[in-house]
Amino acid sequence: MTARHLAVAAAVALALSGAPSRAAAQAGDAGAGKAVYERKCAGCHGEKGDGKGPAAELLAPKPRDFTAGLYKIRSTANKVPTDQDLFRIITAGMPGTSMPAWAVLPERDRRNVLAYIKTFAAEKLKEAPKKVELPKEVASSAESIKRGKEMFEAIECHKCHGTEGRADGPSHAELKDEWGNPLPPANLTKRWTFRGGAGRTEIAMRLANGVLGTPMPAFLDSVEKPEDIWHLTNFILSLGPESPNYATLVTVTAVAGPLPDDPNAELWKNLAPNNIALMGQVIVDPRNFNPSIDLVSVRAAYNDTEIAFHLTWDDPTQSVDEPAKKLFADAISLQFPPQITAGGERPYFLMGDGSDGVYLLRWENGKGVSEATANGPAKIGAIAGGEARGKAAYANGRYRLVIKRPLASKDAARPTFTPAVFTPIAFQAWDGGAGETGTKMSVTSWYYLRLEEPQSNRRFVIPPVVAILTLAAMLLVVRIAKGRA
Amino acid sequence: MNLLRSRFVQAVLILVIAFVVLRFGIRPAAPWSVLTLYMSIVLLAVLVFVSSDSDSWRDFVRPIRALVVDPDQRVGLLVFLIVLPLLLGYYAYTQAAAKPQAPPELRAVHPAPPASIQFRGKEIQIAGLDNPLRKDQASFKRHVAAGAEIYIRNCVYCHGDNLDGKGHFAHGFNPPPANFQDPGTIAMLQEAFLFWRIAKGGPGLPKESTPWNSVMPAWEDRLTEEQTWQVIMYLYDATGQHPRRWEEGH
Repeated sequence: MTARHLAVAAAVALALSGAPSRAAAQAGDAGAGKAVYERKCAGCHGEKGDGKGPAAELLAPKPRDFTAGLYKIRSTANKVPTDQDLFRIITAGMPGTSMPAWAVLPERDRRNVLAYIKTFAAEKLKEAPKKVELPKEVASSAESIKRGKEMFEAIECHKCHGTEGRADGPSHAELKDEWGNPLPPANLTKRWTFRGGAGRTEIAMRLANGVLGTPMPAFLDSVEKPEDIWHLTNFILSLGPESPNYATLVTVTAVAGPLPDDPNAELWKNLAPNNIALMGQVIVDPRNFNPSIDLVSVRAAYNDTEIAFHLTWDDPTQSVDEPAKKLFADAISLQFPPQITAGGERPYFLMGDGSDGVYLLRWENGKGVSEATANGPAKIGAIAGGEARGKAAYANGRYRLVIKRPLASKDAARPTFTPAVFTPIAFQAWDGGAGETGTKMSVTSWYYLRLEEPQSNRRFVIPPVVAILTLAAMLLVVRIAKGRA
Repeated sequence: MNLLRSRFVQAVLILVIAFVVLRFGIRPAAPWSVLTLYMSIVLLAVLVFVSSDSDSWRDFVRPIRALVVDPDQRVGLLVFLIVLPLLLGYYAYTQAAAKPQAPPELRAVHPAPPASIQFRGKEIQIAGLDNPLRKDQASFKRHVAAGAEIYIRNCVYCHGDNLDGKGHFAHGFNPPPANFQDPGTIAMLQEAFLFWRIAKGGPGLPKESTPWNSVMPAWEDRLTEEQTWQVIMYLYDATGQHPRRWEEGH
């Protein structure tokens, strides 16, 4: 992964540093590019470059229609991108979309395919690209971020991107691209999905000259002072982490006192999140190729009687079941095997199957927390006498939810949680406002959950003992050696 | 120059050079467990080397003995007595404070295929089976093109545009999607093996291959027999790999 990122970064740096004369010397051969295009690009972008390849109907956002000559990501003031802009996208891909990083292809192939892609709209790309001059860079500081936040509201970024940047602004659902396809605004707290890259200059460039073919306008002329572009950049960079830092293990912290029900309680702020990536469910019909929820942050704690899960995830709208409007309840569920057994065998990850069921801890907006067993996504049954409860809070495009349950189970349908045991866990989530319900959901395969041992002070006892023993052994050696001498 | 002739300095130098070469000379970097093993072997070899005759051994031990008994080197000894226990104590701390890792998923990557499978109720012999579409050379291109379309509409989400197992959903799943560019996957398998894996997916895996965690769908629900063979032809054509042949006598 790192090597691949390095390769992409190196290729991008190389592309961007290319002096004009060198770039001209490297201009690709459209004829040779056609073969590469047909092999690698036509599946999505179509033989004719109209963005209507066989895969297009399943993808969101849709593949680019090259015949329009409109490119989202560019460093120019007019509509024509530079060759470097296009080369960068081919090389680095567009995070958060289906466009992969083609750094795996030889540079010559990428140059050739770039030349070929331009032939689809030769007329429209005739004009010479006009580079945008960004104002002088302003380093990040508390003051700059504050100014950026003021500007964020002044130029109405929040109308689409939401007050805290989670793509939940009042008009988020109405946005469409040049071709009339729905196009949600960027979630500014997830920088790793920024289409044109998450670097400072890249973000500033998007703000300065907009994203062509989308509702994102150019702001260089509408901010009060040109350097506000950098204040905005600094504010956007302050909204979320650099990378999702996905977890492979969910750690449950031992707590002495009671576990708070309130999702905004202090305890939850002090626990480190375990970030879990969710993927579309594409096995059982109806399938969900473009899931709305792609990340759940899990914090968990337990005391001598209870276990509590604190879940945080982004959802641009709060919705409850209203099938007439094609709206469904937002929901999330935690999945466990009904019994935690030694050995790696588990029920089928997708809610079990006919012979091996799973236990679900579910929360549905409007209905609250419940316990269920499932033998596949179509066979879910509530467990009578549920002991789980929970409380959810929604603000600025984000749910926070606490689900609590006794540690010990009183029947065979639900597991007992035991410290230091690796307990299988999986997740499912539904954004009802995006029409997700039933098998139209986000899923994970099995992860592990582990309740850390309470009050483990091993790490404070063992090291001094080791140090003292070493010292004693050394003194012994010195003594013997001196005695012999 | 005199310094280099000392056995002790030589031994230390060999250890340092061996460490630098093993740590930075191997790409991709070897895991620490392997490095520890290699370094133990080097240490053993060095000990054999310095103790090869009694002169050499005396030469090797001299600076160590001097540090311990020579009153002139008392400060050095004191530093040593403080630093070494602290270093080992710190090492013990890093070991004791290490966060537990998720247990590894031990699984058979290419389990033995069954002799036959039920494909949509029809029995198909897997053992000894070849791709029937390859007999018709004239239609090769048509089949590969059809396979390409099937691939991009169904497989690309996990296995990726470049067939390298890096599709959009790839980072969320364990085991990760197969990388067809890797010579360790389709190049060492018969096409019939692929047919079985595509048709039956994760749920059709035997127990030793963790069928509960593979997210590979059973494609017999969506693809016909011919489509499955077509996409297999595309996999080999697009990656430039060749299927393994059945051994004679099957």
